[in-house]
Amino acid sequence: MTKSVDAIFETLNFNWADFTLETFVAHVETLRNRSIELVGVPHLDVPMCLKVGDSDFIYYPNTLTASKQIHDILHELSHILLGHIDKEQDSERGIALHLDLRLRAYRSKTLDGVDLEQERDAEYLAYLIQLEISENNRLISLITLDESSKHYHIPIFSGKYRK
Amino acid sequence: MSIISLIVVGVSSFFSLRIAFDINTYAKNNSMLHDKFLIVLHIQLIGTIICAYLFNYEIEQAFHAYFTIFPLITVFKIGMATLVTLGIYVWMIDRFTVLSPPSWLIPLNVIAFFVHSIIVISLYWNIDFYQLQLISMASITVSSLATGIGVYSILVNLEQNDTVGSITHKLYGISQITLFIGMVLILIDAIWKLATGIEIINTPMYAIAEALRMISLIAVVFMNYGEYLAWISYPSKLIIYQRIKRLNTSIQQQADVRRVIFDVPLPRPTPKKIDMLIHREYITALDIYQFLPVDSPLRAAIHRINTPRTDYQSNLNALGKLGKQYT
Repeated sequence: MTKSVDAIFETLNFNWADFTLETFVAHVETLRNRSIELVGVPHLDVPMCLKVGDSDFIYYPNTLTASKQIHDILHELSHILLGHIDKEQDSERGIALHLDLRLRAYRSKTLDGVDLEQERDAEYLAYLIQLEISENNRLISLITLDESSKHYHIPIFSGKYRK
Repeated sequence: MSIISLIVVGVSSFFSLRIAFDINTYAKNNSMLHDKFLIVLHIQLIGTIICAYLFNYEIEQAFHAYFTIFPLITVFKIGMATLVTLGIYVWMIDRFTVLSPPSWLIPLNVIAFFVHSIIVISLYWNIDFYQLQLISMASITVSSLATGIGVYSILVNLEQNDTVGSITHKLYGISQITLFIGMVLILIDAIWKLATGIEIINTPMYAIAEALRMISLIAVVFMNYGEYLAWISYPSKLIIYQRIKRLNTSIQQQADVRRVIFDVPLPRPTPKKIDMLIHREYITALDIYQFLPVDSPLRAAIHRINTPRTDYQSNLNALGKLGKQYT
């Protein structure tokens, strides 16, 4: 699994020094030629991706810490980048839904409904992205700005992204 | 005015404008253009830098010759240095911490400026010029440091908004080299003056020290404290990392979860990687604590942390404290 994830990570060809979720999402949109919308949902049990028409939607719980939100979004983006959502597409309706049950994978290696290989790959890709943005001094500043300052707008969740 | 003085004035004015431009861009990006305190900061910042360099020793000496018993320009320089030091300190507390300084601190700052000026006038009335220079140099050095630290914080944010160009990084490289030399020369210059009690204003040593003092200010302004001082906070970060790691091990045992599923090849905890590793353990803790028994006090303690608008560093400390129990 590691080899193919590494290969996909290499093809991202992103300037990590410029990382914000907005710039990265825009980059993935360009790569896939599809729009991506981030939708924060209060008290959502599990993050999920939805593929409808020309758009992908990422639903994530927005009642957790910003670090968790960022991690959830990167994990779901990784599923999209790895093409996991495409595999689940209903050919008739053109709709695909990926429920992220990765937390259940902590409990069992054979749990029904959890594709452990996919979850592991998505987690590894999300990890590689976070490692890269950390190397470029973007990770902690991103989290710190989001979680602490009373003055800051939250750039990653502004603009077209819904809170 | 000597050529060196002209260069110093020109370059320092350029950087004053440059900093003012950056602050303005930052203010616009953050819809804070009408923030009165930011405007006060502009005035203080530019005022201090201009005072520190436009009124160089030669001009100041000329003024001193006219106002022999009233060191007008020197007092103004020292006063502005005090004003900007206090002002930036208060501003930084307000802007970069969760604390809100009381509103009376700002008028107090202005009062402090006048009180300080009066004290300086009464204490150093008709004092030797070279002694005044030592005093003003000390004040301005402190002020420059405070300004530098304050502006650095702004630049960190500007960098995140992609409004700082490559010139900043080039300056940073150049100024790093000259910082050490400049500081040493300034120190030698000051000690020499103290030891000899002689004005040495037009010596080559003074000219070099004056130029490098300006460059060292830029170095302080653009210095990447985070990178170069990373080793200072490294031991405490390592302790936090180990504690959260132990906490996670304990949660895994209590909740019967298998972390191995999401194990990835982690790097060694070097100063450069430690932040990422802490973040990784932090996310893992917030992922797996929900598998703890519902009545577990540990679960309740971590649940209180896992909410939006909480402070990352405080959360780390809180998790570290919980992890300390499992050492």
